[in-house]
Amino acid sequence: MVTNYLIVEQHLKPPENLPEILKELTQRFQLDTYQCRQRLTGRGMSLLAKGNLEQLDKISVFLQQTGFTHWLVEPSKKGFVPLKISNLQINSERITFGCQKKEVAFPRGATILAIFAETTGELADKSVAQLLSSHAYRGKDDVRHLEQNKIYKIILQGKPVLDLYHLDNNLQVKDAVRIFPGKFDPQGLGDRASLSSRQNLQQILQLAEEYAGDFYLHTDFGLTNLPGCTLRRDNSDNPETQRLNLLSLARYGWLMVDLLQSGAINSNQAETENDLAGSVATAMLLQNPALAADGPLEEILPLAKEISSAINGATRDEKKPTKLHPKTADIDLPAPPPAKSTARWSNPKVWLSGAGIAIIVGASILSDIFNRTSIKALAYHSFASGAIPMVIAILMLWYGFYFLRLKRRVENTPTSKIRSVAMGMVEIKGQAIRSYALISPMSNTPCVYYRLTKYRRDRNRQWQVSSSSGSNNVPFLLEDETGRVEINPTGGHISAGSKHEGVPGQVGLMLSSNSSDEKWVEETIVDGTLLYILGYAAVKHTHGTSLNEQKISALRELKQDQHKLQRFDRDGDGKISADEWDDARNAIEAEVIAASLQNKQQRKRQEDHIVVGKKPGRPLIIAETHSEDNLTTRYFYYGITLFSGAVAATGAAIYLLINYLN
Amino acid sequence: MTGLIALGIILLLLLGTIIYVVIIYNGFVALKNNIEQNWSNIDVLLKQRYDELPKLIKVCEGYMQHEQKTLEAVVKARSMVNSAQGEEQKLQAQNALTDTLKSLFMVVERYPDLKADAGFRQLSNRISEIEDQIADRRELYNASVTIYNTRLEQFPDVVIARAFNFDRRELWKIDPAHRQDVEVNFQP
Repeated sequence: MVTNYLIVEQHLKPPENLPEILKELTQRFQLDTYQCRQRLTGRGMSLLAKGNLEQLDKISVFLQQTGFTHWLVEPSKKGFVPLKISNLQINSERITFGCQKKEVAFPRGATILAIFAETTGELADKSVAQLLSSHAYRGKDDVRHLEQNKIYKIILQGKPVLDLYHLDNNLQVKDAVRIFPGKFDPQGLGDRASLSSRQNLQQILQLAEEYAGDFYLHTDFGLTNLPGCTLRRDNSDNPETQRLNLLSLARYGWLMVDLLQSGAINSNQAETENDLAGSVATAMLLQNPALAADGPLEEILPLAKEISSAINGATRDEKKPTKLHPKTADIDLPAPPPAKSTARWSNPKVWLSGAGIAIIVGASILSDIFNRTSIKALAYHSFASGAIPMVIAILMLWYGFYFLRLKRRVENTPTSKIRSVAMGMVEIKGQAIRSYALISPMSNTPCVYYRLTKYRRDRNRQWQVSSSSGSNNVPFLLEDETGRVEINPTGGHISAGSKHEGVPGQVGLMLSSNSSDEKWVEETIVDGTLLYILGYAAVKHTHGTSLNEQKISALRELKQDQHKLQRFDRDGDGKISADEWDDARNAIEAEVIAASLQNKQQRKRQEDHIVVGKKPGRPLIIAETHSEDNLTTRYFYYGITLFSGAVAATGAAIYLLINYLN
Repeated sequence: MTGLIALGIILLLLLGTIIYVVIIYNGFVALKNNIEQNWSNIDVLLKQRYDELPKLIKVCEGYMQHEQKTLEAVVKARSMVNSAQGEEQKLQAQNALTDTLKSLFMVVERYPDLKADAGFRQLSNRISEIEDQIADRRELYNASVTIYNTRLEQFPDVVIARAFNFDRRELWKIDPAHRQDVEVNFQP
């Protein structure tokens, strides 16, 4: 009996009626609730069920009513593994790939299906990390998946492979090639070739898209739950694992071809919504709201039906997934970069307690090596001679002067207005504004900065820092009455005003339980707080897209726009010849250069080109305080305490020394 | 024994005092250089304004055929800035240029076509923006000078300042003409 697959396009966010859908799938079709939940929500495609066509058809009918796009497919047997290429040639008509036994040509206008994949599991790991971090930031109801540009980047940084399938008019595979970076001669790429093997691979992908009439790209290999397409992640350097993964990749490619042939089954619900949208738009066009009411349009006005169907047709065309690019989250603020979980040693508190532990452990090891009496004697003499108190005195003196210098630095720097900050050390005050959708992990507060320190009880029931993480790598904006500037808090002394204590896994504000062996302390600078900042203002280095990338992008757009393309059809034969294409390329190049020059002449907003941050050897202070005096007073008291300690420690050291000598 | 302990503490305090003197001295040097830097930062903006003026005059010439005197005054003030020698003269030239620019923008009110010109709007906005930034940086300069002068008179900084001949610095002073009350007359 032939086994068919029912594959669904997962929803990024669970639909409101998911519990009912799951109940129906379990009761009517005997599917597992947990598996269904996993396979209906997430990113990309997933196998929901497999079996005979009759049974799957029933599920398909139900899915159409619930708004899930899906495919019913009878998998074809894998014809062949894509051929590995060793070189390529490009001309205006085709791309010719040189493989070991034969040459494979992809003519201009061909239908191409591309699988751009990472084969070590790096992409899957990063995806899981993103989901966990997103879950921690936003909770389970607002989980964000990796964005397309990040997926590209991760694939390129990992071990990428590009499979290209040339499909005929019936969407049957004619040829397929496999491209590994660095395993082909890039000379055929001409002026697109570069020294980077990964860049060359990316160029081939762009080239395929440029030459293709219809182009379909999939980058989800390793992220999806599809039959036979498992990516093995254990021991990825093992040749056998690599071979199996490449076989899985070939199966994935053939399955994508099968999906393309079978076509996606869209939901009835979407069509109903489209019809409704068409009716409403028609009513607006005819300035008759009554037409938007529920009822047969043709009975109201014959013309309205035509307009409505035209609009519905247009909206259906827009919704038709002609290209299978993965979706990205649409949000106002971009997601923050993943939090940097710092090792316990980067936290000063850990460092101090760690140093103490290291001394004790070191001493105990030494005592085993030598004899316990000599270590005890060494410790006794170090203290009795006043050496240890003297070291403490010097350290206290050093830090006392450190705070004194910091105090004077704060006092000696006048406050600048943000619109006129000059490059160099600046002091600014204003309101903190998020430039990323940063949410504190424990109190769930929109914030510009947080630091989460986790403590664990040691054997003596004392709290010890076990780990620390924070958003030091997430920039934010500071706004005063004159403008805004970007602040990069990396490496700064940050005094956050809000502090919450809680128990592991806590979300929201609750009192911590005394019986717990672990506690979390979260410090946050809440969005909108007034801040004092002393830091180094510098011009921001931005990495925009290169002229070549802009040109390629413009050419891609031109190819998709038949109307624009006609501009270059000089002989009017409805086709673009090689010469005409060259003209188009030249014209687009000129347009891109002109637009780039125009862009450079336009003045940038302050926050787009100036950043205040840390410069080596200069302080960066970010303090949640209403007055500069509060800060300097705080530094003054630190300094005084340390100086007093230094004097006391010196007195003790001298006293012990004299006693020791006597 | 007590004497030795006292001696040790005195030595520590002496060491602390020496370090403190070094910190104060270095603080004065940094403050002095900050003042110089803040002054130069004003110059950077003045130069930007100076460079934008020919474009503005070119745009205005097309519309203001009957305001040659105003335009010539701006051109003349600009060339005065270029040829001024010494701090005092430069200050006067910059002030004169600011005044002539104000006159120019007042006269522009009579030329709606010029006001509507996109190029003029862009240039006048840019110049106004620079003027605001110049004002901010003058304030910053004055704040730096005030901090420095205050330190010069505070104890114990005054001892170090006198020992190493750190002198007072002058604040940015406004043209006396600008201190006069503005006459506002709502009569037609």
